Amino acid sequence: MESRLVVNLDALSRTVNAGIVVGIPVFFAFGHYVSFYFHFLTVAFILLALLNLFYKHVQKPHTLLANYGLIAQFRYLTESVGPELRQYLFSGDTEERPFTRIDRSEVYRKAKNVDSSSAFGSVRDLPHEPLLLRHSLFPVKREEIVPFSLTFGEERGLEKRHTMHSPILISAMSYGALGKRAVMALSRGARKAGILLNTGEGGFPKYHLQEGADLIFQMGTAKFGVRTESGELDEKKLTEVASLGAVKMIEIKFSQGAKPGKGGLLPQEKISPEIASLRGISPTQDFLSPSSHAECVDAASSAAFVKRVQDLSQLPVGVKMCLGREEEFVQLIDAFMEQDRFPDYLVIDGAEGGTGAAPKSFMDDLGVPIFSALPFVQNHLQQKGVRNRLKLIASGKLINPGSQIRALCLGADAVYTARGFMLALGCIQALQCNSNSCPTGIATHNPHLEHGLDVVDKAQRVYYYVKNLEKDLYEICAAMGHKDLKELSAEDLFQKQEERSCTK
Amino acid sequence: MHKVTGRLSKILSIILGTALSAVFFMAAWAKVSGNPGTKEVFTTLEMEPHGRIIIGIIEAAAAFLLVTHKYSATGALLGFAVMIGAFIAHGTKLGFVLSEADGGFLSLQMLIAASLCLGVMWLERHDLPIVGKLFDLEDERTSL
Ligand SMILES: Cc1cc2nc3c(=O)[nH]c(=O)nc-3n(C[C@H](O)[C@H](O)[C@H](O)COP(=O)(O)O)c2cc1C
Repeated sequence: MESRLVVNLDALSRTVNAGIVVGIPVFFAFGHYVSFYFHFLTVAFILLALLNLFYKHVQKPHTLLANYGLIAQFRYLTESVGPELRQYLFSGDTEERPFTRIDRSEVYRKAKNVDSSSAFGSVRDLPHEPLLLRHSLFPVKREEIVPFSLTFGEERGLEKRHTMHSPILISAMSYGALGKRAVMALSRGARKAGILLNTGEGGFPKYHLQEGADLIFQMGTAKFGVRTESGELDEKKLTEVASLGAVKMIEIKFSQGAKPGKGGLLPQEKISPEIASLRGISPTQDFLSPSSHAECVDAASSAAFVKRVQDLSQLPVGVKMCLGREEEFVQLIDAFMEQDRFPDYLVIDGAEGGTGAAPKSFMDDLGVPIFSALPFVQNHLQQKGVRNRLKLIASGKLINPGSQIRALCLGADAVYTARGFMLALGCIQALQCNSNSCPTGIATHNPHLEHGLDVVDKAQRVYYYVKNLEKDLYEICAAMGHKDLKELSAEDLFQKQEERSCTK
Repeated sequence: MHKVTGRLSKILSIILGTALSAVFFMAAWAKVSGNPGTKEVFTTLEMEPHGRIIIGIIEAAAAFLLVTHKYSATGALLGFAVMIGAFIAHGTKLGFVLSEADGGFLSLQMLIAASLCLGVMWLERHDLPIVGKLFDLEDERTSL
């Protein structure tokens, strides 16, 4: 049976291809008899015909070009602008990933400090939201709210403990993944907002230090900045970093949600002399990051390594990981209990976490998402009676007050976000962090692209983002009937029950 | 091995590109400045003065692009297009032998310029507009 309104690409391409060839003598005739100017078209059609010949009979990589010639080019053209078209024209407000347009614009509005009220009603599908917040019939008055404060290292009676007055921290992003201006803007904004900035695993935090923020120095599995040549901990370098006044805490990264269980390859082209010296590696060959710390082969050795870093640095030391096997987590906690020393904080990064670059499968398929991991971790720590030995920080798409409050309810003491701050810096979710072509100058080292990122202006946005988040968090907390963010618990959540029915 | 041929072809393309650039620049200058010979030619083609100036500008653009690093292939393509037009003009209206003194020398020049343009386009094929990327894929394929 004839198919109806389907474009017959084969017939269409034949017509177009024949048209191009026929065009040559036609325009030639016009050029000859009417006006020589028509020969501009003759020449153009000759070139098109040559191009077509090339597509159909010379090139091999593209099947469609070989089969249909020039007209298939349109497919590749439209395909190449597809993501932009979809983002600008065709995507619904709640459709884009990882962050929907409403999620992003909420961050933008907070960062620009403009009114973020909406009208008419929620556009989310509330009956199908898995987790909602319960408010109280008797909300707390604004004056009664207790300002947030959280002290790291108090459990161990550390001298150099660190107290934060905001429940929000800037999650690890290295200089390398981000360009220097982005790092400087984050640092300056963090200083102004009085929050901690994680350096990421980029080695010595040269640019993070420049604008004077309080820092968490992250030690990745390759221990950039504090490694010996063979990749073990260089104790001298670590004590040096720990003694920098700005470094308030150390974070040992076991794994991260976007690529749990994966090291990384830093190709030689990306290792500029500066990066090589900051990270302590050779600029003349590819660098392969290990997937775990050389010192950590099982739960006991990992716990011992944490203790060693604590003793060396005399600072609060945290551990970052994405939850994988639950029994391994249990073993790790047992090991901490056995040596009677816990990390000062634990970061649980959800599988939905972001990254500068990771294989797609690792982003899509590995790790436990934050809202599944967090209750498990919280429960386990409580069951073992050790919840008061450490602080818990959550991360994984917690960019807006709603999701942050949920995390606080599920046991987190504070929340980390990385991409929230990238959005505050002006990120438009172009998904090009790994190709040095970030159009907003954040995840790139190309000076032309970094040119548009004004450190002072963007630092202000970081500051406003934090302040407006805090304002919302306090307001929601009050509406939920609590004076202190620390009072939030799982009781404050409404979990959608499958099959909940009003007839039963 | 690959590197040596790569370097050789780069040097060759720079030499060819520079030579072509000089030729196109002189031709463009003659046209734009209104050299009597070119005026005569374009009068025959009934393209005086606009056609002469347009072609002159295209040739100047080709001359300029040919000596850039990234767009020499585009310059060669433009030059090649102008040469096709020139062949049409000589083939249909002007004749290949302009005068006894010329003896077809100009036509020979055109033929050489067109071939050299093709040469540069081939040497710099990875930078050609639209199709350049295909050659990258092609290289990957043949390196399997
Ligand atoms: C550009 C970029 C770079 C990152 N670099 C690091 C890093 O060096 N070390 C690390 O532990 N996590 C890194 N992360 C992961 C974040 O710190 C964070 O764990 C994750 O993105 C979840 O938070 P989010 O969903 O709020 O972005 C990076 C993320 C991004 C987007």
